[in-house]
Amino acid sequence: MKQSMKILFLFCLLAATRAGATEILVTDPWIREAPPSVRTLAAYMTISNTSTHAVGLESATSDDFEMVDIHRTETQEGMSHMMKQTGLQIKGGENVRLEPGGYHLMLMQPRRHLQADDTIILKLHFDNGEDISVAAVVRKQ
Amino acid sequence: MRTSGAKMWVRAGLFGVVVLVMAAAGFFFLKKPALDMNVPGARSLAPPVRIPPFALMDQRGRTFNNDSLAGNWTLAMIGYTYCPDICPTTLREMSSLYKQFDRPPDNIRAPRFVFFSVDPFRDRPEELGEYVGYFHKDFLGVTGKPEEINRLVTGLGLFYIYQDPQGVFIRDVLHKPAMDNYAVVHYSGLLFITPRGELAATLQPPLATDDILAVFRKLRAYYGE
Ligand SMILES: [Cu+2]
Repeated sequence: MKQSMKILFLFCLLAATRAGATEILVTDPWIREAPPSVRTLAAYMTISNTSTHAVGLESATSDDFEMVDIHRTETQEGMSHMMKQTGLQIKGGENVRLEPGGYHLMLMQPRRHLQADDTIILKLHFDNGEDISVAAVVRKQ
Repeated sequence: MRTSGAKMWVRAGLFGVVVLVMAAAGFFFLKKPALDMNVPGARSLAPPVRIPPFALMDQRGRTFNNDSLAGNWTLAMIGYTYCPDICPTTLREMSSLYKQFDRPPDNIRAPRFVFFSVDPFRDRPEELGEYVGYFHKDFLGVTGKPEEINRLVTGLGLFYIYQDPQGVFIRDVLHKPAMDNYAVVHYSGLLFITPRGELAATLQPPLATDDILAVFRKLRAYYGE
């Protein structure tokens, strides 16, 4: 019962923040579960731009983390390297996937321990003025 | 606030330079392959690289040295627990791979799995144990003195370097960087080590269970159990 109320609340919250937002769609947001000692996590999702012009993700925030950065992992000749991105451009009509080994939101210094099935609100700020809150599910994956 | 495009290019360029320097230093991937692996991203080393003498410790404080590699195959990686993307991706893949060992159809004896930390300043044995144990109860997390870790990693022909949050490289890996949230740029391939303690092959990510098993079967057939 408690869980379903929570889901309902999140749904209302999402519906509220989505009102008026028509260009950007975020699907399947998730966070990889990690042991409690881990101080940095990663969030993944697919961001779709349904408009005909480019829209950029400028930044992201979350009440559950001190800091959130847009990152990209690059692997060259077996060397892996994370690069902080100043933004992430999504062309009109296209999707960008944030996925393991590529783009991700780097979530730093969690304010609480996250476990599988927890839901975390991430706020995404886009350069077209849209602010989208998404409910990312923590998964053991 | 905004980093200029030019600055991003300088950073990307620096990373290219690091890769080139490694190549020039005789990084092992330039050596001729011994065995044709027929698996994308796999390289066998000819002859296998003898692992230089090293003395580290595992998450329970037990000595982990060259002798610890004897008697069974070892799969290993280098990484750090603050790594949110590539290390857990590999470890997750390894934990699903380990479900395939010690059971029919081929009853392959499970190799040991070692996660060598290249961030001894933040990865203390307890945290390392909690980290690797989360993925599999038998996985070993190995750390120790920065000098020993550096000697082992460079002796394998591998490389790591620290990087501040602005993307600037910190060459000194023997001392803790001044800031808290530094990252580690590191070799992220899987290492296949023979029961005689030699590095016989590497496999680059993205890793797939079938590819790892294919490489491992070939190596066992060639070098023996
Ligand atoms: Cu990152």
